Amino acid sequence: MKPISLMRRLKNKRAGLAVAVAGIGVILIAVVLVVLRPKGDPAGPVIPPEVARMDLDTLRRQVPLAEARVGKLAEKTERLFPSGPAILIDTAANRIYLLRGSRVVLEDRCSTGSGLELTDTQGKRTWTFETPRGYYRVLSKVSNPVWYRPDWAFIEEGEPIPKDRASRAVADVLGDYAIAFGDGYFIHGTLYTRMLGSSVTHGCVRVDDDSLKKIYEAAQPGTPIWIY
Amino acid sequence: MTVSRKSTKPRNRERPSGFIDGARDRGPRLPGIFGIAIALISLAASCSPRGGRDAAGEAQQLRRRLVELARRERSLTEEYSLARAFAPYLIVDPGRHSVELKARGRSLRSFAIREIGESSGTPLPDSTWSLVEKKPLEKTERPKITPGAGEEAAAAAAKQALWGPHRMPSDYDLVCDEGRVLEIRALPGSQSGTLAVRWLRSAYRRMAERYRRWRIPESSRPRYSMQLWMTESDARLLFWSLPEKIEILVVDEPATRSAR
Repeated sequence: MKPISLMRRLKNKRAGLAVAVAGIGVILIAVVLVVLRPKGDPAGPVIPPEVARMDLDTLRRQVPLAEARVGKLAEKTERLFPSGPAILIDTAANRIYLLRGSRVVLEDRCSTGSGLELTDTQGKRTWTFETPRGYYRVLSKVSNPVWYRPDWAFIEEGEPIPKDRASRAVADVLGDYAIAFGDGYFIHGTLYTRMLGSSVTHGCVRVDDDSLKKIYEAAQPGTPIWIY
Repeated sequence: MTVSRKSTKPRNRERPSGFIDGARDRGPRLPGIFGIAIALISLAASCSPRGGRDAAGEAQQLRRRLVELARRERSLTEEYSLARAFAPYLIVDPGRHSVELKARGRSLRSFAIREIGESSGTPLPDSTWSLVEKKPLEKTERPKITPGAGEEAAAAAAKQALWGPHRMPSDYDLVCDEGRVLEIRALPGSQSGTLAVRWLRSAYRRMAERYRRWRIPESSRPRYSMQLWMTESDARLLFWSLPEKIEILVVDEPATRSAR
């Protein structure tokens, strides 16, 4: 065999191999694209037979009627939101809102649960410091509140847990006012104002003194609180 | 001494040979011609019945609108019954590609559905699901405090390892009553890397999800599941915002689904 023809054959073989590899590559990419293709928007709604039978005049009458019904229903649903004071707490942004109807009366920074977990030295009890989500309402409100330190506060500090309630009382740490919304959670003031806007609390909602005063004055027992 | 000053006026130069007379004048005329053409086209479009649509086309559009309105009315009726309670509720509307956390008819937070993935089982029209469990595919470790560390140390620790939506899982199942599951899955957000990196990450996530679904034995599959793909940040924020128990209104479109 002549060396030139051998070279040509080898070249042809290489070219063939390259074409085959490229072809397989293209097929693989196509398969991946088909398998992973994002789902497009669905086709338009299927028209039920009773609607399909309607003539143009009937449709022209029916559509505005349906629009009016939908509008009324939407309005009726929106009107369910209380017209009096309501409190919204956005735990992701650490912001608190005081609303009166649909109007935002006050918006400010707050601090919510740190998400930290504490287990006592015996490993028997665990606390998760998180602000609960959902619907709550103001149960009570007090001025110059006294904090009765729960067990976790002593464990956190490495102090023995006292037997009597009086030894748990601490004044001047919750600010001027405290608004209870259940399960031992409060909206209250703070000494750590520089930490407002961060998730650093044991589950309560800390607010700046001025905003707390406004919220305290507006809120009444029963005022709804939504935490999300 | 005479000082020659350069004239600021353009000089009338001689035209080179072959210059087509009037070519310079044609320039300003062109926009005028285009303007007239556009005006004529728009006049024709406005004169034709409803931009070219005939009565049959209008009827078809009105039928679609009526179906959509009926669907909206159904979902609003369902929502109204949920909104009468004070507890927040979630509205999942695949047709509008949105998930909304609401309370008493007011929107608290909304999330965009980027894609609606595979569903299994028979869909139910406009049904309310009750959340039983938020089940992440991978558990999130909470930061811990050492007993005796003190409140300030705990606050400093919290500041260091800030707790927030970014620490939430992005892929999880919202397990609801009657064996129904909303599968929330995340795609990389528009700010995470270049287009190619995002595409690769999306492709990997979709492949991984397909493999995971394929591995689940038939017996332990939910009765009905709907898969919603969101951005990472939306998926995490949704997990963060949800209380332990919540009513979820899934606005389903059986008609649309069957047409898909």
